[in-house]
Amino acid sequence: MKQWKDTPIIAKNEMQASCYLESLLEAAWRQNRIGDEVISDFQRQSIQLLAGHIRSYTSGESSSIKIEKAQELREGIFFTISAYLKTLPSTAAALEAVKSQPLEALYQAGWKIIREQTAAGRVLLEQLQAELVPIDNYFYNQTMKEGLKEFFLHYDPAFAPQNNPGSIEYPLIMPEQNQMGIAFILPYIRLAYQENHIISQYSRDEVEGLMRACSQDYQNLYHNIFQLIFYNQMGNCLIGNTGKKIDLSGEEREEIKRQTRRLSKDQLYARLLQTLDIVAASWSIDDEAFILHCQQLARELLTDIGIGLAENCLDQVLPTIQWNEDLKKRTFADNKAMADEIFRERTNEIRECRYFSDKQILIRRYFHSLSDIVDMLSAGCLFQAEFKNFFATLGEMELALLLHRKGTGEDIRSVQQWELELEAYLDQLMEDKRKAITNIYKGF
Amino acid sequence: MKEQMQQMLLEVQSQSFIQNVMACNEKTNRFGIWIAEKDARRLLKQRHEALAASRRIELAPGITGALIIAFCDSPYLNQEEFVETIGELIEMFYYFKNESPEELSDDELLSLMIQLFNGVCYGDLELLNGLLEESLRNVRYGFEDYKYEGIDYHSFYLQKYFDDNQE
Repeated sequence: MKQWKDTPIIAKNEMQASCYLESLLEAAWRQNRIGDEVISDFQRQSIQLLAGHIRSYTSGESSSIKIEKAQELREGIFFTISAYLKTLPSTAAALEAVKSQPLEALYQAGWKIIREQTAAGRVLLEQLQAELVPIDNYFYNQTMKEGLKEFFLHYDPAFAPQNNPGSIEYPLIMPEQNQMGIAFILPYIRLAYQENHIISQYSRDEVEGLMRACSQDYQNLYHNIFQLIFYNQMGNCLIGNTGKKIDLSGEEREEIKRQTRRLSKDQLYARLLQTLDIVAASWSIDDEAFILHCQQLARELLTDIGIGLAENCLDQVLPTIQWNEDLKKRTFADNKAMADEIFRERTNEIRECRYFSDKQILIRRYFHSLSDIVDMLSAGCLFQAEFKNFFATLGEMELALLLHRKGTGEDIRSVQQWELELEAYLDQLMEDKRKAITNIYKGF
Repeated sequence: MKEQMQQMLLEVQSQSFIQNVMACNEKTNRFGIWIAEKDARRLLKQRHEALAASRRIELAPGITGALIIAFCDSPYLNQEEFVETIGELIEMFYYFKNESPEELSDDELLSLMIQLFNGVCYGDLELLNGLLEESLRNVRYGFEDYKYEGIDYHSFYLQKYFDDNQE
């Protein structure tokens, strides 16, 4: 008898989460750990509990209810008791509690847990909705904005704690399997919160561009958004791209291929786990459960990279962002140009600098208008290699703006030195970057 | 386990049901009605069948005792037909409980039944059945006439019932 108490009935994780109490009793009865008298006593107590529940449910105004409703109430009672039993360290301890404590006491303990979880869920949902990322995707928005709210509007922890009202359609990376009621929704919200925290670290254009790469109809894409970000961020980090970057060019994919092709599965997984450490640090996540989810996702990435390499379709696993065509139609509002006298003083100051680094500091400090920058470039402030160095400090948008201000060659004015230097600089850029700049330029 | 539980529920309730029905004799006896134990068992069987047919479960003491007390002073019932009528009223009660909205309490349905039975129906069960259906349909349409006492059912339901049947 004493040995029974110490040995598990069945492993806790093998129990059916949705009917924990029933599966516990069934397993114990099959193993002769409990006899018929325990089952009879359990049934007698559960009938008493059910009778009390029916009275509460009907407010004492109806002596009968539909069988389906009674069944639902009974499931609710067992679900509530299970909520408490699941908190016990082992299935043996849970069985001992069923044998030694009145069912009513177990129910009350479970009821306290469910009430606390429901309250915690409501608070977390408020946080989640306050930090929601504006992404145009039906499943994401429907679940985050409406479905979860509906759950708490219609959730009945007293009489139907096992039900999942509301429509929870958006797939998370690792949804809780076989869980119901608040036991399903609380981990769901926690995980959604973590995923959102990471999604929000990227711009909406980037995220939607990545989704668009999976499906042009990304508004109706039924896919976990975090997974897309995770894959591409891991891909970038794998080849040494630092910072938060989820776009991957063709060359970068080739680099991933080159670096991973010769690795064995175990070696690649170890590499992915190392990469995950860097990515997790950049995302500022320290939640152990979430990192475990990410490790699981890294394993999926390992499989998908394997398939991508074998079938030469890595671009489907780690796609390139497809920017929105509308985004290309950009408008630009320039800052006010400085007064001529000030402009002359500052360009003189730049010209007096001996080193480019000093010139660069002054340019960054004084010039905040495109017209001023273009005039400065034409004013003999920079020479030869200094142009290239200056262009290298600019981002894609700034280069596209300069390209836009550059003459087309059809006007009668003479071609400026900086224009030639800009052309030369753009020509030596990688094709993807040049294409990106040209795309922005075309949008003006 | 589900079936075992339902069976156990029925067994536990059978004993208290018979005791409860027999206890009604104290009140019914004044109106010349006596329910023997075999009649109580017959009502128990009818109740089981009615509950099964309407797919409902009932907790002790249930509605049967209340029906007996409510109908024992009806001028349209006597000793010979009392148990049989109660049996039919039990069946009718559960049927209409299913058909009625959730917020309709046992007392409200019972009150409606007794008012119609003793009033406009003159003790006719078939008519009671038709009028209950009508009344509960009105509940669904938002006219909660069952809540008002002293309503002139004769001028309203009877005319409507016959009009409907003529059509």
